[in-house]
Amino acid sequence: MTSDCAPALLGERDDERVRVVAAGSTPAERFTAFAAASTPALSRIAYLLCGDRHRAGDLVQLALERTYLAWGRVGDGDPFAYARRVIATARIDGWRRTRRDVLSDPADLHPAPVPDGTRTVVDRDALVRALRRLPEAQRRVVVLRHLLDRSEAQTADELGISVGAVKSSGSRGLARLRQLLGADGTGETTPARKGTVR
Amino acid sequence: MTIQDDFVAELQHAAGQVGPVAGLDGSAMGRRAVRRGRARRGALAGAAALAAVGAVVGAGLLTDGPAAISPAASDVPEGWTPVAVGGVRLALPPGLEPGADGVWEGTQDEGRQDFVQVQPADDGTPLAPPGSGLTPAAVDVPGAESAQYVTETSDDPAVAQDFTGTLHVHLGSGAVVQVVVVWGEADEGEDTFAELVGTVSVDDDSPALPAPDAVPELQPLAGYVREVPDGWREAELTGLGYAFPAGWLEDRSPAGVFPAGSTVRATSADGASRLSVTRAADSAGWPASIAPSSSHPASTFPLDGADVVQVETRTADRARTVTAKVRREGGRGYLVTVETPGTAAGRTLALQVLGTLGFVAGSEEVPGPDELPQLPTAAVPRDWTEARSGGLRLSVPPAWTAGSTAGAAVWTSGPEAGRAQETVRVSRGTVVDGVAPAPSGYRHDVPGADRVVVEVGERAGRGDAVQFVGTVELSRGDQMVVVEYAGPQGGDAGERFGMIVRSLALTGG
Repeated sequence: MTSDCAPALLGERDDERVRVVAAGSTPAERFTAFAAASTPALSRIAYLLCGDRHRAGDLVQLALERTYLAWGRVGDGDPFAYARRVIATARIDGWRRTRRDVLSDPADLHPAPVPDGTRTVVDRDALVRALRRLPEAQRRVVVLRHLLDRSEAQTADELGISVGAVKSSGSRGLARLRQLLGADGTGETTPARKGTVR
Repeated sequence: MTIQDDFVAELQHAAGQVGPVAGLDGSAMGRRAVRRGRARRGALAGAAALAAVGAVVGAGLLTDGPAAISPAASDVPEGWTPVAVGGVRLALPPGLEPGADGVWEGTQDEGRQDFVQVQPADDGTPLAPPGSGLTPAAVDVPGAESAQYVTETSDDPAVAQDFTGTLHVHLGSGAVVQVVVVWGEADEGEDTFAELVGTVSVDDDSPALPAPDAVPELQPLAGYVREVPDGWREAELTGLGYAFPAGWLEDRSPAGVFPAGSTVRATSADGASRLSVTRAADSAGWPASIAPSSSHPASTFPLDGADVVQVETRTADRARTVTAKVRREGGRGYLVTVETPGTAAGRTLALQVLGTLGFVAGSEEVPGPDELPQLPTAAVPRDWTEARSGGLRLSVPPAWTAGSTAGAAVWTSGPEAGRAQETVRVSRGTVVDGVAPAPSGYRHDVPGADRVVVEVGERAGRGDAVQFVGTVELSRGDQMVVVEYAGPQGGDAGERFGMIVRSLALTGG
């Protein structure tokens, strides 16, 4: 699964995505250029949401088709935001198609053991697996609000829910992730740390 | 200003390590979206969308003028498949498979995908948008008030060279049905469209199609017949009856090791087709109906006693995977997966397998925690090493390496002769909001634990390898520990898992 993902885009964030400049002489050319430039970032978001590369591909294709149909309205604005919204609000979970499609060899998922037992930070594969165990509503909020660092208002707008729902779903989602990931990394559960302002 | 704690920062760092999904060709996907958009334009609602797509079409199309098409014929060309949908009857060329509602698709090839689509076109959208340069031509469609078509060949580099033929059939009711043929190769597409139009006639009894942007509903699975073919071998997995062709090799090893085993498989003698039946541990949480997305079509078939029956089909790399999700009302749920070659014979085989499914005794109720079967375990070998992770004690085979990752303690097997790598992963957390894991799988008592959930299953390994996976969720108060073992499927992994489980104990804090 994740072993098929390209090497990490270190530090790439949603707000650092490639912005497509107007190129090509026809709307179709401009749209295709947008699709080529945006597919990597869209697929990354889709993968975080669904944890399945095939499903992620389906979601990106769906988002591109919807975005193309709306190109007259969004092509000169922020088509990426439109496509992301399609992905974030689509039915993100299919069911397991084949055993080969969904789960991976733990050897692919686990970094090499650290012999001295010192902790490591949360790894990407553990994160993806843990996200999959969240209910869809919580997962959407955690991915948009916390992983992609959208504001509460932006997240609420993109998902079509209230800010209060963003707060509650985000809080519960993070709590569940803490549980699933053993947030302190020492094998001992500790209370959730209080937030700091940066 | 963002409020963020260290944990969120860690999550963001981990998310930053997730790269784009490999193998996706954004340009090809974009071209496919354009082609689909073009095919849909006749049914688009809204002037803005119409103007946008119309402009695209007009900018990039050669106006060849309609090709000569003979009046409709009633004969179905040899090898073609007749269908009736959305108010019309027509025949489809070979090689197309049902996709979303009213869509039949060919296999993707270098980003191109031939398809035929039937959809309503009642919003007054013209067959030839202004400025497109297209000239509709009339054609005789039996039963129709009138019918016109246009054909287009693209020279737009963004959408590659392909053919689109669009037929509007005006019915006596005032409704308009649109039939679109999109083909990757222009000459072949033109011939195909001409032949297909010759098969179109009005059929008032055909099933209706939803509006293009309506939420799609599960459609009846075409070709489904409830029967067990002669000579097939019948079997059962804890409440679900199924059958497969004689001569297939059945592998009940997971169920053999674990009597309530979650999965059984059967494989054709040539290995080209496979069946797996899995009892789903999470079926209680399945929604009664999951609407398929337009990119993810699904269908259903009648199954006595079921409240969920959903079928998905995926064709890729000349192979077809059909997955059926079925749940007995108030009872157990199952996943049935049939993998076949992507041929018509393969599709028939998959349909035949689905036609054998039926609930039997044992499917009616999900067992309570005390009714679960006891997990079979074996004594822990004396040479195993005792290990601890927080308050959990367990034993692992000698020479395994301890480490940690992602907040979990991990033990990994060494280069033991003749054995694939095995891992044991232990992670800890708290029971959120008092929601402990639902009982499922097996029963096993672990000293010091209030509640134990044991499940076994499998997942993909490298290549075609399949891994055995066993998990144990232990909870005490609001504390929870999850132990996961993964090892090679088909060997003694199940026994090994049983030994590890028997060694577990929760000690102090």
